[in-house]
Amino acid sequence: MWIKRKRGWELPESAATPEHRFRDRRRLLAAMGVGGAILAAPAVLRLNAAKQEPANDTLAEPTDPTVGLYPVAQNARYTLDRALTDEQYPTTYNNFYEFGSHKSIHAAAQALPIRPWSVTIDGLVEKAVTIDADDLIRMMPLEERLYRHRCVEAWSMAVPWSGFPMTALVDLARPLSSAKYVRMETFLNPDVAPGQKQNWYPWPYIEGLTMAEATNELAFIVTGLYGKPLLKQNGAPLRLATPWKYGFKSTKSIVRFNFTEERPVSFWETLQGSEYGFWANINPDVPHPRWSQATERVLGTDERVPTQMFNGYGEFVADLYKGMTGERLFM
Amino acid sequence: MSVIRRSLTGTAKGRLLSAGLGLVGWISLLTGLVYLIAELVTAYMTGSYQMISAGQAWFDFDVASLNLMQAIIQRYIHPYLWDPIIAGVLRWPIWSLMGGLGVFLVLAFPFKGGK
Repeated sequence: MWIKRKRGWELPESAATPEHRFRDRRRLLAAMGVGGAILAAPAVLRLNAAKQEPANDTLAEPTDPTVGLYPVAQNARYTLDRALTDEQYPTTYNNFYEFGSHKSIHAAAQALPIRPWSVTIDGLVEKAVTIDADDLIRMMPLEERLYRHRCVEAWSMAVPWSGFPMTALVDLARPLSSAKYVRMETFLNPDVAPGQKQNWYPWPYIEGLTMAEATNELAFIVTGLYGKPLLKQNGAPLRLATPWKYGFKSTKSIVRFNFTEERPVSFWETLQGSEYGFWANINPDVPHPRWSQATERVLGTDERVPTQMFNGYGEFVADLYKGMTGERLFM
Repeated sequence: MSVIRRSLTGTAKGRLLSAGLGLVGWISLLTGLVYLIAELVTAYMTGSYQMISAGQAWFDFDVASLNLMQAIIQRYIHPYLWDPIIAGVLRWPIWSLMGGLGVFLVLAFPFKGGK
C-alpha cells in the first residue's frame, strides 16, 4: 500500500493565495509605508532639530518675597451675601487656558516661574516704565476685599482677594488724556505653559477695560488670596478682579498694562466673538448662546442660586453703562 | 485589512463605502497638496518658511469646533488625550497629515473599473 507523506512545504492548490489578493496586500503595505513616512517626516525633522538645541536650565523658585505683607486689613465696604467659599475650591477649580482647558490645571500651573516678574506700563502715558512686581506691590495700598466671582460657565464663588485698587495703578501710570482703554496682557511662555504651544490660538491672553471701568472703585488688582500671596493657578503674582463682569475678563498673571486709544480685542473675542464680547457684564436675563445665565452653581455647595444683575454690584457700576445703545453690554 | 476590504467589496453597500473611502483619500491628498503648495509659494514670496499646522488650519476653518472639541476631550475624557496627544498631532504640518492619510486611503481603496 502506498502511503503518501507530504513534506512540510507541500500545499494543496486550494491553499494558494489568489494573485489579486497577494498584490492587494503588497499595495496595502506600500500604502502604509508611504503614508507613514509622510506622517512621520515632520516628527523626525523636529527630533533632529531638538537634538541640536541646548537644554534649558530651570532655577529653583524662591519663596514669595511679599509673604510678609499678608494678611492685610479688610475693607469693610465690600460685603458678601453668602459664606466665603472654602479655600480648597478656588485653589483647585480653575480656568487658566495657558495650561489647558480642563479644571485640574492647578498642578500644571506650578511650572510657571513667578519671580523675577516685571510689569510694563506703557502706551499713552507720560512715561513708560517697567517695574519689578514686588516693588509695585510694596508701593500700593494693600487691602482685603470680599468679592463674589461669577464665571461665564455659570458657577460662582465668594473669595477674599488681597490687593490694591486699580485706580492706584492708573494714578501711577499717569495716562494721557487721549487714553480711553487699558489693555492687559498675560505672560507668554510656551516652554512652561503647554496651552501656549497650541500656537494657532492668539496668545498672549489679552483683556481690556475702559478708563471709566479701570478707575471704578470695584476694579481691583489682586496680589493675594485667603490672607496669603496669590497662588500660581489663581494668576500670580498679580491679576485683575472685576466682580461685575464674567470671570474671563479677570486677566491672570499680568505682565503689561497698555493705555490705548483703540478698544482692545480680547482673546475670547478673537476666538468666539459671537459668544464672548468686550463688555461681558453679568445679566441673568441675557443667556450665553449655549446656556442660561439665570442661575449659578456655588462652588463647594450643592446650591444653585439666582444670578444677580451685575453680580449684585449694580449700585457701584450701573451708571457706567447708561445710554450705551448698540453695545453688547452683557456678552 | 484584507478581511475588511473583502467584507466591504462583497456587498453593494460595501463597494460604495470602499469607493467613498477612496474618494476621501483623493480629497485628503489634494488638500494636502494645496497646503504644501501654499507653504512653498509663501516661502518663495516672503523669503521665510512658515508652516501651516493642522491646528492652524482647523482654527482658520472653524475655531468654535476646535475649541469645543478641546474642552470636551480635556474635561470629560482625559486632559492628556488632548495635550499632548491630539495637540501634538495638530502641531504637525497639515500637508503631512492630509497627505499621509490621503496616500493610505487612495492605495488601500483604489477605484476599480466595473467588470
